Amino acid sequence: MSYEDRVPQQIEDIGQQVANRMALWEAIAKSFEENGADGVEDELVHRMADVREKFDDVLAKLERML
Amino acid sequence: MFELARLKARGFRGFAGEREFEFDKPVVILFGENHRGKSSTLNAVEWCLFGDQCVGKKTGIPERLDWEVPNRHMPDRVVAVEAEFKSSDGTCVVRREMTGTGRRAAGTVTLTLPDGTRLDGDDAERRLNAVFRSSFRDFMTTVYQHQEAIRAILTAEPRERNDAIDRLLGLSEYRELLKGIRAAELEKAQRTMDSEFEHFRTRVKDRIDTYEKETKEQKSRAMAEGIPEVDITEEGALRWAKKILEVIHSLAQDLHVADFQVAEPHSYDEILEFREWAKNQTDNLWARSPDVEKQETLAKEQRHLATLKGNYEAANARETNAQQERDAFVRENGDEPTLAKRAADEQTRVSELDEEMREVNRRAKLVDEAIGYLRGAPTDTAMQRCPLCFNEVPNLLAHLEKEWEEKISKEVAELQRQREAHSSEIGRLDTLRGQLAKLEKDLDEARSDMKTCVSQVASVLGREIGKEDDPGALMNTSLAEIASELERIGQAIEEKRPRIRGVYDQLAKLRRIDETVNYEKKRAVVERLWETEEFAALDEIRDEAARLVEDVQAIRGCLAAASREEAENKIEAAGTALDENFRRMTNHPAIPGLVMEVTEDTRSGLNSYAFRSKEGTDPTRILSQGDLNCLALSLFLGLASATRDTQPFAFLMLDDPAQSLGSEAKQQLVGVLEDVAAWRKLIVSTPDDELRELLMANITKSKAVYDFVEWTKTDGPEIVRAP
Repeated sequence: MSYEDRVPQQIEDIGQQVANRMALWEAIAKSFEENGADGVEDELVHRMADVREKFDDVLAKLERML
Repeated sequence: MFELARLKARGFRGFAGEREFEFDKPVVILFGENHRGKSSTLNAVEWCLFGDQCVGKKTGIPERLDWEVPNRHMPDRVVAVEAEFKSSDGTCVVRREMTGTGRRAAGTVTLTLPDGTRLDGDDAERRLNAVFRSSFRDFMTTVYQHQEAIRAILTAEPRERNDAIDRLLGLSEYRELLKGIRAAELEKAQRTMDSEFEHFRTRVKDRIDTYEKETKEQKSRAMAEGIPEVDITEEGALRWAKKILEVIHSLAQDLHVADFQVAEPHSYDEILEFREWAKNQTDNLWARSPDVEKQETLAKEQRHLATLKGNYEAANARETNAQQERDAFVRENGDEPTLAKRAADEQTRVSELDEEMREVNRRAKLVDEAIGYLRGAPTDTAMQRCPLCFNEVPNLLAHLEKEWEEKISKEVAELQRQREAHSSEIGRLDTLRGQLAKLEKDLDEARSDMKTCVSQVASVLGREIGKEDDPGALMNTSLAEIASELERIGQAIEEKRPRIRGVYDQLAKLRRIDETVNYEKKRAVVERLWETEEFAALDEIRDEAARLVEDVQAIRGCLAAASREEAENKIEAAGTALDENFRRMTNHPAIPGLVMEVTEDTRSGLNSYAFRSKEGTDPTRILSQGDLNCLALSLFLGLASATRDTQPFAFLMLDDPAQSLGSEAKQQLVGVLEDVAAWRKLIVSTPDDELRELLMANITKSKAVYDFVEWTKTDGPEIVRAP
């Protein structure tokens, strides 16, 4: 068994947020296959950047309401 | 199980032209100095089977970054590697080719099965996986011992050694995955967002406090200004607006302003607009009231008349002065006709003198010529005879010389003096006439200015001004009347001013109420921020970030756990062989046996390996470089041994296995390899003469040796198979 099999098994074993974490893991594994550690970093940074962008938009709206 | 039978390589890494190897003996030794193509031969087998999987950063092997597959010295950059594997079912031939480099690289793979079926491309790749049932990861941990794996384990740095052992165990990918996750620094990004959120919360709280403080202060001032507390509300503001409107309306009527526009506010939102309107309306009412308009008109008239009076007085003074100067001049020097007559008389006298001069000159010439003649007369008789009348005159020359001396020269001098005196008088009279002309001109101009000024005064006063009238007095009378009227109007205006001040005062109070209410409203808006959709959305986004971090942390934990689990499984599987091989190779008196354990580095989530002797002591500090080399080989051979029954490949490839071993350890290694050769074909690459000799002398299976004699850029390795 390699990491491709073991990690999903671990996620299943934890039993929390399985669907979300499995989807996230698949994205990480795919990025890794394509671009190694840099790919993983890019994938996660991109995901957090999406959240950050939404955060900035809403915060800017609230700032304007001040 | 598949044995490696044959290999052809062209253009791959150190290879230039095609080279062929036959692995037809149980033990094949690749021997030669470093950089002669030995490792390229073993790498070619790996690349032929796994292609791009064994290239680049995704392998987790530092040396495979920027790893060039084509030989950089070959102009065509065409790579072809063909490996032949024999099994009980027959022979499989794998051929992998590549043209171009970098992003332009294009590869093809062909698989020929024992029954002669030939597959290409993706079909060939899929069938390769199915036939050999081995991943690149398994291959490098149980079939192919990379020389770099031993080199890496020799480091004294624990983190790098852990990395090297992970690699030996085929766990580099876990390590790379964890590295990528760690590098993303999601926790840091989440902390930044939390910090910004908290900063925003603090600012909101501060703003509420500020508005509250301002409200209190404004309210306190309002009450001090006499505004009842009950009026400091939106309704109160509307009531005040209505009152102000009534006062302005009444004022407009009193001021007789007919076109007064009413704009009563119907809601609090209109108060600000009302305040501006009321201020403008009051200003306009005041400016447009008849008294104020009359006051402004009279004041303007007063200013104009005062200016005109000043101008008149200046013109009058200028005319008087000009008149006086001109009269004084005439009194002293006479008027223009007098001066002209005197000048003409003088000119006549000059002409007469000129005539007299001419007469004297004529006579003088005759006397002069006579004197000259007489002085040259040849005889006394001739000297007594007048050359003009021919009469005889005694002592004529003396008489003429006396006349010249005493009469003519004095007369001429007197005539010249008189002429000069009269000429000078003519010049003086001309100058006086010029001065008089200038004075006359100045007087004319002063009179003209005066006339213009009087005309203006007549226009302003609205009446004709005759010679008998005194414009200055007329203006004084008019100015006195204006001043009197202004005083009367001023009193009337002063009586109304308090009412205007009252309106402005009311407006100031309305402004105070408005500002106080506004601060209260702003505070209420900010206080309600917590209940807005936007704030709820912000909370949700923060939750989303927290979930992402939590999920990634969970995955990171899963990776760490899986990596540790796999490491434990492999160490357990290799355990007996690992211990036995290590003891045999090192023959270390202080380490009777070796146990390898794996734990998690809680900070990084990476595997951390520890060794202990079977007696429980920590041998790390006494492990030499050679011991670590033996450890790496023991681990590899242990893993190979653990998978010997399930492994699809019936051969092992060891690249420079004895790089840090002493002579005794090399002998022990050969002893271990003698045992391994019983169940696996061995391909050993080494630059070490001693190891070669030991292998040749002590391995009982038949052997073949490929000598890598030379290497050149153009031809690649020169290889000789020893007989």
